[in-house]
Amino acid sequence: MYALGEALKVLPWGTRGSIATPGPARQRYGGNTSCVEILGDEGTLLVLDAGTGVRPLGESLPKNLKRVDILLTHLHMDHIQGLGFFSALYDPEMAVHIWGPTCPTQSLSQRLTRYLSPPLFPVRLPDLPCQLTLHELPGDVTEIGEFRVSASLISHPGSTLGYRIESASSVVAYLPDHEPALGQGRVPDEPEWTSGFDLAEGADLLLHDCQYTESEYIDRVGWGHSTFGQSLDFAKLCGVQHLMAFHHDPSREDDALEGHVRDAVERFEPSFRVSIGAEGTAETLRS
Amino acid sequence: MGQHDIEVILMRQLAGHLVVPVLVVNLGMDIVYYNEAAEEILGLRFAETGKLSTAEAREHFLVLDADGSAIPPKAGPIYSAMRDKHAHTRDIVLQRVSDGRQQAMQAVAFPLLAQGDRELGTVCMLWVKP
Ligand SMILES: [Zn+2]
Ligand SMILES: [Zn+2]
Repeated sequence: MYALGEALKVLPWGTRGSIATPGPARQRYGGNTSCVEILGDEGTLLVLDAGTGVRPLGESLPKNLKRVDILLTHLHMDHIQGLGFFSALYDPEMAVHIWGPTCPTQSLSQRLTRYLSPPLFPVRLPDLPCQLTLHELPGDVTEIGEFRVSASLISHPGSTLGYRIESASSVVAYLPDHEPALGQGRVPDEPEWTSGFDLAEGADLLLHDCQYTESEYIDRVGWGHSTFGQSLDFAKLCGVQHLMAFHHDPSREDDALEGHVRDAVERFEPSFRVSIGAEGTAETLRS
Repeated sequence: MGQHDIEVILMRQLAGHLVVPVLVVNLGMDIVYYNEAAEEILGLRFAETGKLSTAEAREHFLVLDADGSAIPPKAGPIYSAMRDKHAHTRDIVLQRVSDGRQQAMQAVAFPLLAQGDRELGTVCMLWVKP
């Protein structure tokens, strides 16, 4: 499963936004909330967000893994709800590094402990058996194993990060909750005035918020999410090779999701590849 | 690369919706954005000029004291707000170079201090004196 020689594997374990939505009508793309595994060919494993998808990811960790880095975009529940159920946190031999957004009043540890402590959760975050280190972002570009990781604040309510992950040969950008059209109704056509541009510029793969249809967005301006069309505009501006629609609305059944993406693609005729993020469907980026 | 920080982008978006003239200034004292209400006062169009350095701005408008003497950039409220990390206000007269038109205004400047100890620049709002 983890063969050497693959440049970079991107495996979504949860693609749903807002709340987990299990059920037969959402089986193709999945009902777990945001969580993506990034695995480099030297064995470095990054976990992007810890929505409910991080629980099954924990069951599939390589046996010899000694370190895992969890990159949280923000602390909305759909991005941290699975954290307490991630097996690596209960392994005393495992070094777990959690990266997340800074805040002027409380540390990342204090804010996560508001969820990971009684009465909401039986175990307090600082009492978990793993070797836990927390890091606050944005900051300088960070080297994690074979990856260079950049994080910047992006347009979404509260402190929210997007990530750019670079290997020697590939770039993945992850902006699951992002509203670059805020205040204008459309994505600006000027890179310097576009939230998230630096993160996504020239990416081989961009996982981006595509939560709403155009008609839904009208009543949800400022909620921090994008339409399929806005995401296509953003991806075009950034010059990406492949846009993966992400953070599917909980109300969206599989057939409707495919229909909305198909309609947007027909209207827009992108010159880059477009796919729908699906739980368990990996993308392998090669040099 | 070279995208503005999200706080500056959001500030521009907000300013774009306000009727009060607003200038967004970076740490190098360049005016990186001015809104439509400010276009009216300055006699410029942002779409045409884009970012204005201090020297470029001086070609288009002068910032004067009530007695008509020029206020050096480092004595003005924008620089002071940036330096002191605190709001500053000052009565000024803006004089357009193109037609010499003068407008008495109150300039209110506040620094953009962001999370993670990031200093991003200054926002200056201009209130027309009655
Ligand atoms: Zn979310
Ligand atoms: Zn969110």
